[in-house]
Amino acid sequence: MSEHDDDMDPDRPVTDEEARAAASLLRAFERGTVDAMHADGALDDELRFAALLQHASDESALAPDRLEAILGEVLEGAKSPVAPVRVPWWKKILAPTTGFALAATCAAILFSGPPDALPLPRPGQELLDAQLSAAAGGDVDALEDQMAGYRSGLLSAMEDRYR
Amino acid sequence: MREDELSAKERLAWEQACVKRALGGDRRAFAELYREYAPRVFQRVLMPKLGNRMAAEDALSETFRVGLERLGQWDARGVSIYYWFARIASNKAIDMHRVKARTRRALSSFEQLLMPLTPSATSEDEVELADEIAALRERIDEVLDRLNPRYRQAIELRFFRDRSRQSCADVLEVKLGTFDVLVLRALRAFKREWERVVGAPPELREE
Repeated sequence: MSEHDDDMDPDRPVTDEEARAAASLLRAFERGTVDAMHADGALDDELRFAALLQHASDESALAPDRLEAILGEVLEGAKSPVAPVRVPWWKKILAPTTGFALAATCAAILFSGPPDALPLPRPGQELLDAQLSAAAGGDVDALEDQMAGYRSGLLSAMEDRYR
Repeated sequence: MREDELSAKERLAWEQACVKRALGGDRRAFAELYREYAPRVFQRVLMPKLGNRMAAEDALSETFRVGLERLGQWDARGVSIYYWFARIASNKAIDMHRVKARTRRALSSFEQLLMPLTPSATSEDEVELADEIAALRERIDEVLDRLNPRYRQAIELRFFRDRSRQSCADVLEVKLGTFDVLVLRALRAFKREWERVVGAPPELREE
């Protein structure tokens, strides 16, 4: 037993201050909070030790029915958990590879020059004469024959160039 | 499931299986995790941090609601999911202290009082909750032994016996109001002796 307790009679007369403090402590203990603006704000230490003592008692555990009631609240109030999205390894490689290939193709198209233009085959003397004759009111069928030959030569040249 | 039934490795495997099932929509799997860890989160984390049963129950509900919604974010890394729940609970307790402080109704934490009794704050060794409470009761008994028998009796009646205040007052043969004062004096004497035996609590600091 400490000297302090030896000196003080536990059953000494109650002072007004003690009576007020005891009432405040009781309120605070039942409520679980201390009012910082009032007298019980000074009772924080007493409340803390009261809570410690209660914690050490058998009553500190959560009763099974209360535990289940809280579980019910949790399951009712919670949104469904979102599973983490796992990206397969090949997708991790595919995305950057595809992007790179696309960029390289665009660059090749943008930075390479246009193909050389196909020089038109020169018309022969017979075709020019047929055009002069047709323009002067001569034989149109002869011009058409010459043009068919020229068109055929032109299309063959284009086919060779762009095939 | 009991602590000693499973090795740490088996426990982790069990937790991961529960999480996988819960993520697949099986809420019974989450309920298994809750029943295993909620009592420990309540007594070991929330009660010491909040010092109040109602506040601790609210925080417990919020902790596991958030835990369920964010279950996909849990990354085991060889550590029990208990520590993940405990961290959420700790953050909830800090939030509640802030809210209560704004309304000038301060919650009373006794976490600092327990610190000298905790072997190591960073230890992840599994210590049975019952062992922790037993160790605390030992220190409390040591302190009570140093008190005036009248104070000791008042504390034991008020906190360790399931009795009404009036019944306690009757046992001590005092009026109800006098019994409340006796408890106040007993708590002040207990605080003085606790600080002599266990040491003064460190200053409150916000995490």
